[in-house]
Amino acid sequence: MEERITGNASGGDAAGESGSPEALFDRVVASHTGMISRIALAYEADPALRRELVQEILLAVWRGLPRFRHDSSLKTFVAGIAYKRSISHVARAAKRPKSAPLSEAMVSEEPLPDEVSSRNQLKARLRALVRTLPLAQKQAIILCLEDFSFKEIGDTLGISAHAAAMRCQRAKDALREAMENWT
Amino acid sequence: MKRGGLPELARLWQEQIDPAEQARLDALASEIKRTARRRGALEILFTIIGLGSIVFALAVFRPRTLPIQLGFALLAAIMVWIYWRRRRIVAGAKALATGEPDTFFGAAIENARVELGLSAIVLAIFPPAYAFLLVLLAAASGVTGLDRIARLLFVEQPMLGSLHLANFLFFEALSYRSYVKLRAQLRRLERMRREWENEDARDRAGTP
Repeated sequence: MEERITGNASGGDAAGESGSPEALFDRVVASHTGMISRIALAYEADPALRRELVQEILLAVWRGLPRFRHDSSLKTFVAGIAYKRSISHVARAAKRPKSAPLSEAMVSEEPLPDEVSSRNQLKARLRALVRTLPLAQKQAIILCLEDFSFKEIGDTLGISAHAAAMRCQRAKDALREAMENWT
Repeated sequence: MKRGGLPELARLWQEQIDPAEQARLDALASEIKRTARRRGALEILFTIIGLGSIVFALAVFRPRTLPIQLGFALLAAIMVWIYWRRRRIVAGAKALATGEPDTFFGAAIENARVELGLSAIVLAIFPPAYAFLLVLLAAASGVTGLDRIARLLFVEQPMLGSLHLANFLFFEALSYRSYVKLRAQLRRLERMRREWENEDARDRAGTP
């Protein structure tokens, strides 16, 4: 049985949702900017460039909404645009996203002051680890972390639900191992 | 099919954006409609300026003889063709975001190849086109013959010659920089597609 997960990240919109592109965009702004920001975060470490990327994603969503066919959820549609724009951004960028070995990534990325809580360190660790994953695993695990079902991940990435599950599993194993080794 | 449980990592992930940054991004999102309209208006404005410049140049120089008129028309046609090709490439790049996910890399690579090809053409034709423009400008002012034009630019009016040289070098350097960046972009896309295909092969083989 397909699990449909809703929550603060998913926005809970369903396939068949109707509305003008303008109304749909308002829904995107109300419910999905967090997800868009986090997808951008996984591909772009520099805050200024990340803001540019978020803007590009939102512009692409705005332009693309008239072509939204309602055969998937709005969340899936937006995530699909976000990941494709992010890949285009990475391809255009002069530097690749941080893909150094894990220990290096932690040292080089946004050094944390001593007073920052361990939870913030964990978040930074997770962010750095996600960025180091191979592209296909990264795409899958980001959507997994955003509470997408495997079917939704498959629809977003153009792969089967089974392939989505396998990619998420591989990425999850890599993340867990790295997180456990760190603590 | 059930999503494998990783609730703690998901919670951690969904806390990634702090409220202050989220507020900035929400403000950015609320401005997008205006940004899109502004960009659309700018595109139209640049098109008008570009075409207007060609018309203005032709009106100012008022080439009298047919060969010079044809020469200017040829240069104008090349500029319009490059602009049209560039607009199609940009439109293709924009359409990628809403295209089918399984054909994304193929389409993105194809678009990048076309853009690189156009960049190579611009890089190659800019030097002769600029030289041709100088010849036409000189001929429109009544100066003919390559030796006369060279003497005019580098002996009689060295400031004008230096200005043209600097102008030429600047735009050629820009074109070269763009070409190198596009070539790197194409390589990155091809590498990402290989990564994607490797993962796909693992999926098919059932490799954990």
